[in-house]
Amino acid sequence: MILGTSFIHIADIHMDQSFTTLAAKDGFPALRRKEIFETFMNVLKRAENEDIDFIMISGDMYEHGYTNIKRINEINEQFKRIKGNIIIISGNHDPEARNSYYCLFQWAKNVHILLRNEPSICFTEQGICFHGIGFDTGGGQIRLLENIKTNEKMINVLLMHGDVDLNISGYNPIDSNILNSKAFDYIAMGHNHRMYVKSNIYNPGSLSPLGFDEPGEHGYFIGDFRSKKAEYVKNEGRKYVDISMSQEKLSLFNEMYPNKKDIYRIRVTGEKEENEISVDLFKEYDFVEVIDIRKIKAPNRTDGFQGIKGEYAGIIYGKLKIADEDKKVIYEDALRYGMMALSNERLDIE
Amino acid sequence: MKISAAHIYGYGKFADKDFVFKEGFNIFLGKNEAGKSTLMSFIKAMLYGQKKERESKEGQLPESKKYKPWNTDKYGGYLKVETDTGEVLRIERDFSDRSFKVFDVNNEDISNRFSMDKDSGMPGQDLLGMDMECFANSSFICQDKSILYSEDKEHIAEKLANINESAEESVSVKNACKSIKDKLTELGNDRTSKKPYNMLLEDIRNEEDIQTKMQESNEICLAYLSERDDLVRKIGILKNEEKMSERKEILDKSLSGKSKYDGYLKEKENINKRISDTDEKKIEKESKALNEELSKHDDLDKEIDSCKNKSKKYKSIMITIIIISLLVIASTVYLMLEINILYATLFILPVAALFTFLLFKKRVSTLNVQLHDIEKLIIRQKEMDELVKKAEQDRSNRILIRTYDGLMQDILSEEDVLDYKALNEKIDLLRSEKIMTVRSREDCLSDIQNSRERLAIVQAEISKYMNSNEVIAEHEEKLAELKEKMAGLERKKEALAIAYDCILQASKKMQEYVIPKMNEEMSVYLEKITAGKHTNIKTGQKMELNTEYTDKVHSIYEFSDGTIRQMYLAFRLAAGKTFSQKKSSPIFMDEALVYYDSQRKKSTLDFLYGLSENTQIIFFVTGIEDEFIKDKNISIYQFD
Repeated sequence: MILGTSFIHIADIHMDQSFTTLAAKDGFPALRRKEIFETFMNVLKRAENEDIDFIMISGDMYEHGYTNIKRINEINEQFKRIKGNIIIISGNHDPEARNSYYCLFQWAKNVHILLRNEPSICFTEQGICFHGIGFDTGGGQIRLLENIKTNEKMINVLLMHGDVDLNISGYNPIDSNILNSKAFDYIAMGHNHRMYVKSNIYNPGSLSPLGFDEPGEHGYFIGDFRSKKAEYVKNEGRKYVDISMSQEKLSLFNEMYPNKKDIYRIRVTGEKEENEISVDLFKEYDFVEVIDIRKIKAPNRTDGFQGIKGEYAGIIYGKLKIADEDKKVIYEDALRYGMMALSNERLDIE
Repeated sequence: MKISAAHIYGYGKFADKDFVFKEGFNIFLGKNEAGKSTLMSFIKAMLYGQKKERESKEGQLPESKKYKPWNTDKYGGYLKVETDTGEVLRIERDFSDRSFKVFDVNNEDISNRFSMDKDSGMPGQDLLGMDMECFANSSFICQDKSILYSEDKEHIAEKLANINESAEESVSVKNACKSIKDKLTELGNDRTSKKPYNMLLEDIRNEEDIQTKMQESNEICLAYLSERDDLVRKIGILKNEEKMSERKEILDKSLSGKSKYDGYLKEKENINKRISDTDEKKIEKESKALNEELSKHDDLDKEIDSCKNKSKKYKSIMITIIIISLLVIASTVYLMLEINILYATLFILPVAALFTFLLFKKRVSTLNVQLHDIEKLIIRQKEMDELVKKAEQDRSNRILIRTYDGLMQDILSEEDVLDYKALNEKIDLLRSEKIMTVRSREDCLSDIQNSRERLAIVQAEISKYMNSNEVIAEHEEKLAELKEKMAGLERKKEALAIAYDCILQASKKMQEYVIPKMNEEMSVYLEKITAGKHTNIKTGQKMELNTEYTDKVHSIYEFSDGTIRQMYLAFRLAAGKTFSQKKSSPIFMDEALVYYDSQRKKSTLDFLYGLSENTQIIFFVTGIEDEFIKDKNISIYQFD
């Protein structure tokens, strides 16, 4: 009987990552962590229900130093329920180390972690060999590529955590031409959070988006080694949307971005006026972070202040012109506080 | 700029009201509550709009509310002005909807030529060359409650001190800096306690502690996992070692068993060699016969002794008989030869002796046979004893052999082998295995037990972690939030510090460039207002206002209330000139001379009249003495 060669390829789950950028809304980071965990579990349940033969996880499954043993145990319990084999490599966020769960935890029998000293495993009945180049604290794992011996009679799959065609990277940088020249039938990449396919190099990106720098689609590959098919399955969960809008256009936000589940960061542009940006527009949205980058009105001594206030404003404007973005906010505040103090107004600063 | 007319649709008490202004000096006469301040407010509002203000702490209403029309819904009006370039403009405002328009002489809307603030247009800024604050601080001298009271000299002096610092009467650099300093202290620093900064710092430290502890706890959990790994591996090694120790013990025991077996076997062979071929039954039979024979004798030794004694005795008798017989024979021969032959009869005696001798000889012979038999019997008895002894020895040896056989069998049973060959095979097999151990099995078992106990403890600890719901990321997020708050606070503190420094810088600039210019203007005006009595006002080294008077430098505080008021007026007018940037601005004065004595009033009015040649003056007052205005070209309006 010929055994199946169906597979699921996931990477960069980053379980238990902290979300300091979402901390402004109480409880939202915890909710996001839960969603990321559930998305991962749903993929594993699919593998369980559809009797997928191989589940490949190309690094950064969890966050070393953040993930606790309880969470690892939960995942392992789900691994146990899967009939197929789970092939895992370490990533830069869950590196192979003496004190890593990869080395210490008693994983289920169908879980195979490809470590530096045992980078390959073959399933003779299915005719597949998996080779792994993960990430450990020692560095230089990419050199393992030279020592990996592919078996001509088998399907050869490489799991790798690193950057392809990004030479300045410190994370296993490799040229796609070199990779493609090796006798691998499928190269299951991880590390880069954006999905890409280059010949037989497949990188699913992060399973769920993890920050505003990860817009676009996220998901995983499902396919079959023997029939050489791989299909990208999109994650239908929340997306990160990072936008800039002028204050006048903010009223169109609801029309332009109707998905209230997505995570938004809006940089409000334009000139700063005294009226605050209304947050009522976003009350139906799960998470909207508004960053006010409106510029303070250009100084004009004729329509600005005169007397000491004008002099004071002139000094601050002079500093504002040459200040970097971080300092500008401080000078804007300084201008406001100084004016309040000179106008004998109470300095209402919390 | 000059104002030529004002029409009020509705503003305070006025509704649909017209006012006309002339060039030069305009005096508006009216009793209290006639509307003088209302008209002034209207003009200011037309030029600069109404500021959005809240009700003050003292309960004073903001202007937008204070001047809401009493008798009409229309809230606004228009102002006709002539610019310095001679252009005639109409400024229209509706204060209800804050709408603002400026039309030129052709009724063309030219509003966009004028400055706007966030609420409305500010044509005053362009037409007068002053922002609203400067206007309010200079040309617009309204009725101020605080200077209505004669004793409020200090208040005016304070305003002058403010001017000295900031060139504005209402801006106190000292107070501004103090309020910033106070705020900085209120926010807290490393030297304060229980302030927002300190509280935040404490929260951050607490959260960092929690996070460190959680990370340590995670490390401990990983250490337990590592220890569990080590223990499981150690137990495996120990078990293997224990097995080897067991095999070694079996081998040692088998070797010992074999050694014993060999010893027993050797012993058995030796014993076997010692066993004779005696027939026990025959010996028994012979012994029985011998015993029967012996039973006939009481004591064989005694019998031998008795026989030997009798034989000895009989032999002595025989010797005696021989001797006597020889003596008799000799005597008989002698006698026969010597005495009588008859004596030959005496030979009967030796014959008798011979017979006796032979009798004894026979007895001795019998005794000897008897003795020989006894001795033979004794020998037989001895031989029989030996045979019996030998038979007994053979019997005990056979028992011994059987015992050895049992012991050897026990060894085989103990070694669980059928025979000696199998035992040797077993030993050979055990010897063929490589047994490398330095520890005894007992030690291994003890180590295994200890390791298992430790493993149970480690497993229990890991189980605790398995049930822990602590999430490190949550604390990191909280910490990040606190640090962000702290960064915000630090930014505010930095902004306050910058504000503090820049206010001082601005004040210094004002003192260096603006104030001297203003002092100069002020001195000119002061000289005119005081009719040459005071000719200058300056800033001293200690930043105090002073004036040279009668060749001496005096602090302004040394002067009377009235003089200080004149100085104040001089300032207001000088400020108007300084700020108006070469544009002309009407001067508005509401009850400005109310506390002046008649001499001061006269000199001031004379000065103002002179000023009105080039500057429109709009002067509101409840009443004015004729002597001050006679022979002067002054337009006088009387409120209804």
